[in-house]
Amino acid sequence: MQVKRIDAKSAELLDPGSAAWGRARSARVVLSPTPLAIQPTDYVRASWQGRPYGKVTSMRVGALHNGRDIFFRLAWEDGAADSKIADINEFVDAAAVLFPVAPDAPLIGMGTQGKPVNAWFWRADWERPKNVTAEGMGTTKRREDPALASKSKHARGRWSVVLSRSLVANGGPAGTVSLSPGAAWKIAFAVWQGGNQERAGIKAFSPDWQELQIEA
Amino acid sequence: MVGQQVDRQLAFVFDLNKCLGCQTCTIACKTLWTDQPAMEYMWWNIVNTMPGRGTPRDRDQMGGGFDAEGNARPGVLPRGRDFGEAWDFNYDEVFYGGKGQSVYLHPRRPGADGAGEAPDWGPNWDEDQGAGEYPNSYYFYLPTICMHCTEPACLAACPRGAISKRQEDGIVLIDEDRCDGYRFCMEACPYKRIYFNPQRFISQKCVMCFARLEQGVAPACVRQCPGRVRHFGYLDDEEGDVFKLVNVWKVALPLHPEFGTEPNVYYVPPLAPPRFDENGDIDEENPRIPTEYLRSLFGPAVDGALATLKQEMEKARNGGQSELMDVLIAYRWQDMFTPFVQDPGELERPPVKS
Repeated sequence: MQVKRIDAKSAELLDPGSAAWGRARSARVVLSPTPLAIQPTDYVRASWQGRPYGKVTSMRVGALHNGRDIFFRLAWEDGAADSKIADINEFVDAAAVLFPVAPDAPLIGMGTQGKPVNAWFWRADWERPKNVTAEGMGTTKRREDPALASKSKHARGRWSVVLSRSLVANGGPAGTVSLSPGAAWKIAFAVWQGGNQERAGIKAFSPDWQELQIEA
Repeated sequence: MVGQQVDRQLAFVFDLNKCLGCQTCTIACKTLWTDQPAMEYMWWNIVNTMPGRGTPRDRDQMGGGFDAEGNARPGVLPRGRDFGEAWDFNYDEVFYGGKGQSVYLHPRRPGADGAGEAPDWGPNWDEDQGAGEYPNSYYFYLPTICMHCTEPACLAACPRGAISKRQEDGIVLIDEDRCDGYRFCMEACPYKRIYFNPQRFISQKCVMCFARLEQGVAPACVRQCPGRVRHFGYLDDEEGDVFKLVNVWKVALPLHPEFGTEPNVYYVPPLAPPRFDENGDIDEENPRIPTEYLRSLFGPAVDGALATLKQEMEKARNGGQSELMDVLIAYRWQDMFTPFVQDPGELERPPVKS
C-alpha cells in the first residue's frame, strides 16, 4: 500500500469528501471474521458459535501524508449507520488501523508480550479516535491522544472514515508507532458491525499485515 | 469455569418467610451506590414478586451460567426496557400547567423515542400479582443482588480480565478502569444482576458494600432491612447465622443451583398455608405455594428444607426449644451480621474526595 506525499493542509485531507483523495491510489482490502478459536474466553466462543460475525467483507483503503501527518481513508458498505448507543444492548460501528511496534509483532492476537502493537481506533459515537496499545489479547489499553483525529460520514449505504495522526509518535502515549517519510512499515485493518453486536475480538479483520510504503 | 479457591467467602441468607417486599434494601442500595447520572435505571438490589417475571423481565429465560458439564451457556443481553427504564412524570402539566383538575399524574418512557409513550414494563411491574386463583392465590417476595458466585460466569466471560474475585472474602468486583463496556458479563450472568452504564461505558453491579465491610460495617441492604430478613457473614464461621442456616440446618438454599455458578446468596424457602379444596375445606396435604414451583427455583433440596422448617416451628409452637427458630427470629439483631456490627454513624467520616 502506497502512502503518497501530497502538499495539502491537514484539515483538507481529514475530510473524507475532499477532492485530494482522488490522488490517492486506493486498494481493496479483504476482511474476514477473526477465528472463533482464538477468542479469549469460553463464553465468547460459546455465544458466537454458529452466529455470523465479521459482516464487513472488504473495505477500500487510501493513504496520504503531507510530511507532518498521515491519513488513512477507510470506506466500506454498511446499509445502516450504528452511530449511537440508544439502548443498553446496542453497539456502534467501529474501525481501526493496526501497526506493529516491534517489527515482528504478530497480528493475530494483537501482539504478544514484549512485542507490542499500536492501533488507532475510531468509533462512530466518539468525537475523537483513541490510541490503543496492546501486547496480546485482553491487554489493550485505550488512551486519549491529542495527535489523533478523524472525520467520518455515512452516505448512500457507505461509511467513509479518515483516521489521521502525526507521523512521529511525539505527543502520543508510550507504545505509539513512529512512522517517517521514505520508510516502509506494516499495517492491518479491522471493522466492527455495531448492528450485529460486534465488539472486542468479534470483528472483521485483514488477516495478514499489508506492506506500507511511505513516500519520501 | 475458573476454579479459584478463595481463603474465605462472605455470604448472605435471605429469609423469604420474613421478607415483606418493602424495598428498604433496594432504596438503601440506591441512595448509597446508584444515585449518579446514567445509573437511574439501576437497582443493584431488587425485590420481585414471585411467581413473576423478575428484573429484568423474564430473566430466568435469558441464559448464561454453565451447563452440567461446566461449559459456558450463551445468554441474552437485556434491553433497558427489560430492566425497566427510569420514567419521567408530567409534573409540570399537573402541578404548574393549570391542569391539576383534568390531567392525572402518569409516567412516560424517557428519551426522545419514548417521550409521551406510556411504559409497559418497570423494575417491579408485576408486584403482588403472583399466581393461583382465589382462594388459593399466592405470592412471595424474592430479593436478589449480585450472588458473588464461587464460579462467577461474569468473571469467566470477560475478555479483558476486568472482573476479579477477592481472595480474602470472595467478593466479585468489576475493575472500572479495565472494563471496556463489552457487556459479555451481562450476557453470562444467569441472574442478570449486572447493569450497563452508557455514560461511563462500563458495566456495574453490587459491590457487597466492600468499603463498609473494610470498616466493620455490614452492607447497607443487610443493616437497613426492617424485617430482619438478611443474615450475613463468613460462610465458614461456625458460630455465625449463615453457617448454621446453610450447613447445619440446611434450610438456606441457592437460587437456581442448575445455573452452575454456585451463588453465595442463600434463601430460606417460603412456607405457605394449606390450600382450600373444591368444597372450601382446608387441604392440609397441599401448600398454597406448589412445592413443584419452589423446586423449580431452589432445586430438589427444597423438600428437606421445608420439612425441617415445619418440624422446628412445630417444636417451638409446642413450647420446645428450637435453635433454628431462634436464629430465624433473630432476637439479637447484631447476631445476624457478626462480625460486621460497627455502627456507621459512630465512624469518623473520611474527607470527601473531589
